[in-house]
Amino acid sequence: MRVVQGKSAATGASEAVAEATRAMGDGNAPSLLLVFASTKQDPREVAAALATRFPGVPTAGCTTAGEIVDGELSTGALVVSAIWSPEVRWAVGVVPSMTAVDAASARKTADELFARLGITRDQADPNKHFCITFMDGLCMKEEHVVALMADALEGLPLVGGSAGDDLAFQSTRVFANGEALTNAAVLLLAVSEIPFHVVKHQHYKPTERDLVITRADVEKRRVYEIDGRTALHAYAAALGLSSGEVTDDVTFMNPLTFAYGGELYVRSIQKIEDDGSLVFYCGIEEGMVLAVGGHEPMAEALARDLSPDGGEPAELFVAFNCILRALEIRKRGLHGPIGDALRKKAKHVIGFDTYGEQLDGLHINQTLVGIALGGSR
Amino acid sequence: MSERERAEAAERTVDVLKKKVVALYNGDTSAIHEKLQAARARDAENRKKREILEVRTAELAKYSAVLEAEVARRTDAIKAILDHVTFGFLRIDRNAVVEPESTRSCAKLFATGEVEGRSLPDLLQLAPRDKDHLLLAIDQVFEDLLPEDVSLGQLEQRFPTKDGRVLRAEGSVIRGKSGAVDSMLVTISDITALETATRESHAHRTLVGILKQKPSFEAFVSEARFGLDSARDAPDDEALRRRVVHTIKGNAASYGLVDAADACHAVEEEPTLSVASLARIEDALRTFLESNESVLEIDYDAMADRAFEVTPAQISDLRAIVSGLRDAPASLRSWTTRVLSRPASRYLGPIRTFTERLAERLGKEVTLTVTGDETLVDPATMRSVLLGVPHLVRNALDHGIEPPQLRMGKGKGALALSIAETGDAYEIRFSDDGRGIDVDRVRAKAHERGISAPEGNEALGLVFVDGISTAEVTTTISGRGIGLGAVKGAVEGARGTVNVSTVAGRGTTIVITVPKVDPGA
Repeated sequence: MRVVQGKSAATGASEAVAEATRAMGDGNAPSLLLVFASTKQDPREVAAALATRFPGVPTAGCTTAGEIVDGELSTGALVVSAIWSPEVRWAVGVVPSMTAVDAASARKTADELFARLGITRDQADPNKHFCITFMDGLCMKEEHVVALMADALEGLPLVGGSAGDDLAFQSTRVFANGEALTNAAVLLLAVSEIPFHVVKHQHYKPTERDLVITRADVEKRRVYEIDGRTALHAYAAALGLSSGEVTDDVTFMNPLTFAYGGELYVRSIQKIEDDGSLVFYCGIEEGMVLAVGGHEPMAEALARDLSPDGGEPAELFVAFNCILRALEIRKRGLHGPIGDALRKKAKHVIGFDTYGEQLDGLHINQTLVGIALGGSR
Repeated sequence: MSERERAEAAERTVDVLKKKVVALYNGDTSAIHEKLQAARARDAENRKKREILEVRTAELAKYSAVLEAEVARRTDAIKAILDHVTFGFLRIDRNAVVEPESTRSCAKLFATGEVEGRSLPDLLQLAPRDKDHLLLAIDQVFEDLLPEDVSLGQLEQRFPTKDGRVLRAEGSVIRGKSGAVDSMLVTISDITALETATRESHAHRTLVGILKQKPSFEAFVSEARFGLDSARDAPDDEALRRRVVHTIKGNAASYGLVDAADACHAVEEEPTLSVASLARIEDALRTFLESNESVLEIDYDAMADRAFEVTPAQISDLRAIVSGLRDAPASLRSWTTRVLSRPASRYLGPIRTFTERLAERLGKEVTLTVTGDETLVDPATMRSVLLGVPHLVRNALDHGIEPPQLRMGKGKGALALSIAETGDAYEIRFSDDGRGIDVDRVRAKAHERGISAPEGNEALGLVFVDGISTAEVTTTISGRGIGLGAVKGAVEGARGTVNVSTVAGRGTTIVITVPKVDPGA
């Protein structure tokens, strides 16, 4: 596998594409392009410029709330990874409308991807095949779509992220083969002859402080009441704060968590509404018991989880980092140690700051998930 | 917050929690819970898949090792042949007539009594045209106008005989005192065994090479098939056709598929590429896969299910049926079925190794008896059903067969799998002599999940419902009640039925009956 990566802070899409892809040469076409763009570059122009620069090359990616390339975390940039991988074959598929997808159409999309890679559903092999997803980050349908796709893909390892728009919450787009689509999901199915592994990392532990959601709008992921009180008040009280002291900084440092089957899942607060209700990044429901999350040192926890026992670095690590983690990194000035932990994971790292992460049929947040190709675990 | 407000909030919370508890008690899981459960089930399925794949990979590695040993053995055989090959020496004059004093072995090599005084082309039993060629080439050697190695190089060396052997004849020049060509010394050897061994050795090397990179080879076959299909559909696109053929040629050669590469090469020489030319390449690929089917388990025609094709032999069968039209519909149907059928073993995979490994891991002692695994089945109906058999084994090993210390004098556990066909159906029978299924517990489990259970032993059928397992403890091997659900799904998909019978302490028998699909219907 050969990987060449580039970055540009230029605001004109074609200049940015030209700069970010300068080192990629004009010889052999790469096997795959991964592309992540900030709101500074027009997404449709980025998609078109890349298609002109690399005609016919499978391309996938999305708009972001922050970009990661080779362990460097930034905002306002375009980052591109060109991958020449005779040992990994790729196929890009699109779910054109995340609001309209059902089990039958998900299965059709999966079958098309399988067929393009010359395999049948029966041959789906979790040791060799995996799927990377990029989903519109504002349609609130990730939970539904990722569960359908995970089933349609025979439960193959699946990892991905929801597109961002630099915290504007206006419009997010996903890239697929020359197009920048909205309300869509892009799936990247791979057949790999080299080992790979999926990573899930979070730096929270549950505490003893439990909260019960007592009134919520499940569709809008909006919680009106917790413990029978206005959600904000109950949340603030659990943290020992007054409601006025609960700022965005407080919410992203103190997400709520719940445990299932020995796994910890995080439910992060996206927004505090004027009526004291809380909007979450992930699915919630009435009667759900959530624990206030306790915080671990961020960089140390990441270094521990990414490279538990040293081992050979991977060739490529594609990372999906929750925007809330990114905000914490920015706030605490942890770019250096976080970048070091990522660089230690793989020779090449590319990724972005997400509005939510996808992992094996679940939509989650306040995590860093990713897939590492090659190297040892 | 006042005391009163606090009390009201607490009351509201308790109300919501009460509702939740009642809902959970009634088995109404929430959407979030269901998604988490599904994710967990997928995870368990993946673990199972990985186990099966692990065994298959090990099996493949074992097979590959056997083949490698075979290659080494063949190489030794080639050496032995070369060491012991019989050579005959003779001299011929300008007219290719054998001169006196040839070695005795020549008579044996030519399978004739007398050698001296006879013409070499006759001894080699050449056809008139080949005879003329040889005579001309010999004459050229005696003419001595060209450099010696050039004129000798023009001599044909390989001569297949009429009794199926291959002789090799190598000439060298004997000069007189004047330096002129006096006669020619010809060394004759029988290279039949050598050629066979070389060919077999090559075939084995090819197979070892393919097994080591089987997934990419499968991808090559699939792409070749796709390419040939598109080429066939594009009669006016000569460039496309040539591109497809050329790609297949390169890949086929790199995998050592000499015949397929040769077929491509010959086809490329043609002025235009016809459908018939493409068919020749396809035949070469298919022949290779068919003759190595037991090792490679790749079916060209099942590769992408794009089209169904039949071999010339099958066509001639069909002609015979059509010409005696009286019984046509029935014979046509049985012809179609015959053509489509594959042995059941192909879909069972390495079931014996799988059982051994799993038993070992679970600390169980069992013997698996398999009968009828070579029964020819229709892949369309039976493939997914047979792929589910490992689930039955897994279930029996985990829940049926007791640990050795609890077998109560029953000795080693016995699993029996049989595949058979009757006139109109296939039957898979799988039995164990373990503890049997506790029907009452199945009924209780069904009740917990809000499923109504039929009376008596009919409730046994519920073990095939997802989520119903009688296991006390779920393990990574089984117990989540998902595997058997998959089996049932596959059987129902094939319009079959599953019948379970069990005797406490004596074991369980599962009989799957799948009706044959009438291909003419």
